[in-house]
Amino acid sequence: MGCGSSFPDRDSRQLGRPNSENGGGQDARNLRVKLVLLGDSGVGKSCIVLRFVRGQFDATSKVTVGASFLSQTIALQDSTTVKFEIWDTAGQERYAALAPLYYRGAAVAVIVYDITSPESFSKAQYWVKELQKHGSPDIVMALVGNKADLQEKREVAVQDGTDYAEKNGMFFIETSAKTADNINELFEEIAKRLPRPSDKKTFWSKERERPPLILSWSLSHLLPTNKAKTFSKRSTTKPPLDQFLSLFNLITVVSFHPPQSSNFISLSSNAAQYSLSAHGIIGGFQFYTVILPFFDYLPAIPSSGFHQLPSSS
Amino acid sequence: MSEMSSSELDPEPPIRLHLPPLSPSLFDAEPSDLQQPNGSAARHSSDPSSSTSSGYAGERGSSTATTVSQVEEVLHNEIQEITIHDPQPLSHSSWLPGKRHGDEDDASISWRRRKKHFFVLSHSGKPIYSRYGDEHKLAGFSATLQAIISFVENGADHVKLVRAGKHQVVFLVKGPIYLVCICCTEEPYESLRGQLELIHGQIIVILTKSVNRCFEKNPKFDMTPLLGGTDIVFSSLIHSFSWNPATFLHAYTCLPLAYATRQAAGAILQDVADSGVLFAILMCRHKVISLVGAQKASLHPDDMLLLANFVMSSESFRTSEAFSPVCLPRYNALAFLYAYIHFFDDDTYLMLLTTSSDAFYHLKDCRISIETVLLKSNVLSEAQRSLVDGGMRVEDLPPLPYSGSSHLGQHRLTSDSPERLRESDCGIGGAAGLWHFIYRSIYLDQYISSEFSSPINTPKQQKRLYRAYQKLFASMHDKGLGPHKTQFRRDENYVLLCWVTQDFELYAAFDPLADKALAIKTCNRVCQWVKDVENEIFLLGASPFSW
Amino acid sequence: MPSRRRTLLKVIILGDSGVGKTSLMNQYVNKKFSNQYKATIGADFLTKEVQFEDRLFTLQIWDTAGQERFQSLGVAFYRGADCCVLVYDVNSMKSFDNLNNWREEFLIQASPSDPENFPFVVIGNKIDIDGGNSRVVSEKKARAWCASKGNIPYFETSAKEGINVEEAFQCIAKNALKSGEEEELYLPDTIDVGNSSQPRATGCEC
Repeated sequence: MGCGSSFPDRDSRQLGRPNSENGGGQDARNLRVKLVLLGDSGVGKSCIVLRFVRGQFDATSKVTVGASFLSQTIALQDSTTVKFEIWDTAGQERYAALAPLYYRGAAVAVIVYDITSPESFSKAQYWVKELQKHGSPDIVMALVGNKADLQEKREVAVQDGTDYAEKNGMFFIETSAKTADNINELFEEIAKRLPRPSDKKTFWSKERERPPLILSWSLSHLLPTNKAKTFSKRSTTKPPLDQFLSLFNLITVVSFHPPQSSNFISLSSNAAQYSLSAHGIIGGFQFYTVILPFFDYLPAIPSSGFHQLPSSS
Repeated sequence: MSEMSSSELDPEPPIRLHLPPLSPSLFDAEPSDLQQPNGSAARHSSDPSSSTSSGYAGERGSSTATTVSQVEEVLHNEIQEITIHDPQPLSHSSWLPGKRHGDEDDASISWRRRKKHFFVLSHSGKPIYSRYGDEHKLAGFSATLQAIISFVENGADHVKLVRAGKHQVVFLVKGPIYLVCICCTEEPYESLRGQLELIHGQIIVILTKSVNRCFEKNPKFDMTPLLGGTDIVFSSLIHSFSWNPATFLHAYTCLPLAYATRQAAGAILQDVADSGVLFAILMCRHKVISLVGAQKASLHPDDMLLLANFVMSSESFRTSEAFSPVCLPRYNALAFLYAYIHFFDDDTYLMLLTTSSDAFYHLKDCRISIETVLLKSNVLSEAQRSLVDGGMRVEDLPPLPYSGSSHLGQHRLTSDSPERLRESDCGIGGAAGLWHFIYRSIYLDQYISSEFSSPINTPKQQKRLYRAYQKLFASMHDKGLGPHKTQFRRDENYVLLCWVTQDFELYAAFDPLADKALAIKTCNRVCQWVKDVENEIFLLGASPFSW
Repeated sequence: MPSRRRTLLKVIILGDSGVGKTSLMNQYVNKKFSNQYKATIGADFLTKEVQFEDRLFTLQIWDTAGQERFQSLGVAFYRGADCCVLVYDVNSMKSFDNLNNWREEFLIQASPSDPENFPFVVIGNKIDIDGGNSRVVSEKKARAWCASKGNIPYFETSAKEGINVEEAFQCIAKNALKSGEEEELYLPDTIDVGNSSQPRATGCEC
């Protein structure tokens, strides 16, 4: 997991400010979601995304290389907004082994097939299995039969899609990027199905069936100002409760420490997971970075009261 | 099989130029592949016995057959250099990328008449790529090629080149991947082999060398699906063999820019490189605006050529920012790096290479700060302007006794200006009948090519000139004969002059009637001119090309 | 269009000189038969596209010369074969006896990863000759040999009459396809400092 490298890699000047890309704007009303599109090459993943993001459709197919990144924000009726950060992955076989790079940490997976191609439907099933095995446990999955405008060439029955989706707890829709049919509906439906950070008081959402899985955590570069001692730890198992709590306390202390411009806490995410980090000076201890529990999935991460507490305000 | 006499397996390069330096008119008539009128050239195969037993004889429908023992005859008789009926691309802009003539196979007359074929196949003879025609339909042909290669290898030897009439068949074995070029373009063996090397490099860019492991584990391995959707990358690389001198010079070229502009771009790239980016490369089409490498990391010009070709030919990069695994064959052929790619406009793009798979958001941040600086310093608009204005023009060559600093375009008059000054001793082009030049700085690994102007203004003429340069390059770098220092050739098309020193190589083309002494003098002027404007045409300073 | 993955299968045809390898191939690929005997020099290569269970694939058929002097075609020739077809003439005991040698030769040269289960197909050709009266190898004998070598599928054909040729090649294609099923996975390495999550092996079983 990229826990050790995700922060030290970063430019030091980024530490002092809320990271516009990673941390910002995450609260119950404004969600940010990592979404990954998977599926055989040529099924129209890029077309779906471009239709959704730019309202465009280009019939000449352009093979995606690696993965393209696009984002789009939608407003829901309950006046919440959802910003989709979309990874449009290449369907080519050579990228299959590298797919985890893109779906790691994704909250939503949209698996696309072409209703005129049974082969692409079985490829979609492969991706569903792959995500069930290796994706985030809470991932919201949508099965999409694209090219619905090509009814006369249909080779995958609607019922087959419906049945398969139902069996795997996915939501199913047929779309046409060409006619724009059901494209917005697809993303709106996903938005509605996203778990909400509804509980603002507790770290763990009560609705959650189980506490978040702590994949790894580390505390690095904790330096007393007078002693150049580095305490760093990485683990892939849950840290002992007491250590975790003390870190937790530390964060809390920083958060509520008398305003000091250099102290901050932020919740950030990178492609892989979410992390809490803190930076500041308390009682003669200067700590540059505390990187706290990493979760492999987000949905219920902390409420607005907890992250992004610029101690100066 | 026994018919394949050793004479066809000539291990020697096919073209030898025993030219003493500065000896005019020793140059044979420049062979031209342009002289054949459409479809009218007679086929050579008047030998009535030649094709009766060949697999090509009958109509085969979708199936085809080839016989190893007859391959020499097949090559000789069946592939003609006739320009066939489909229109040749008229200019670079009208060149359509991607696979064409995908319906052809080795039974198609049109296929056999194509001037330059490239094939990639596996060591078991399974087709991987063919420039023309459908790979699967060419399975029999692939098998033939593999049989030739393995037949020679059985004799503990290697086949490098087969010559059959006007045709050359060049072989390159790269582990389990075999590459073959069959052509009648009269290019030197070294050039063709270099082109095969680049095609192999492009495969590595896309797949890394770990694809070899698949063959080790399973010789039956079929690589074609792994290259799905990349026809366009290979066709664009092959196309660049005829217009991009970087493919034989093994150097890169910069977009001409004011020194301060390039510096501004370089400074922000340096900032980014210091934050954990391995290479930060800002390019405009195939020309470098600026590039920076992390400490100790060095980038080979061939890697840059292949990377730029990969990025420019893959349309999806223009649609949105992307994060893709890529491999730099000369940097580390065994593993992928990750490339963050963003097009600022149709021509200018940024490539940030990293070893970290989760650096996307960091690189995106980097791009945003780079973009801010580029906009503030007008780098993007200057790049566009440079594209329109072009770089060095032979018409602008300043006279020799020359003082003061020079800038590109300083003396330039608009090309349609009636007052355009011309030297009296030439009707067209620059001084002393100078038509074109390429200057390659050995230390910098960079070259500068003058803009094409009259009379070399069609892609066909440009391609012919590059082919002539290629030959010159090959003969100058011929280890057996060389190293040469100077070469002067005259034929009905050009006077070509080449001058190689420790610091640079100069290739210049003149009017075929140009005066030799004047031409030599003009070359000196060109070198002086390049030195005068090197701030603008080269990327100077700490080169990441340190090996 | 989604990638219609096409499969290419390399099929090697072995057997004594004159048993009708080239004729079988021509009958199969071109639906033609010529009584004229022309020895194959070195090898012939044919391509045939086949549809099988909704999948399109291409047979790349390597027709080898049966004569002694061409026998040692070497490792490279057999490398990566998906199926090997052993042909004999039911009217020639010697050609049948030699099947064993051809099989051994193939296994040694090609050294497939799982020689026990490498897909062979045996074809007894020329059943049409003399109305079957000049036949010297009985079907029973041939089948017994095939059974002893791991149940090799056996076909009796007439390249001349086109009898059973299509069926034999259907079986060849099927068996070649089966052996190609365990696909090697392409697992590229990445230079990824400080990151333990290398791409995982993810077999594609669909």
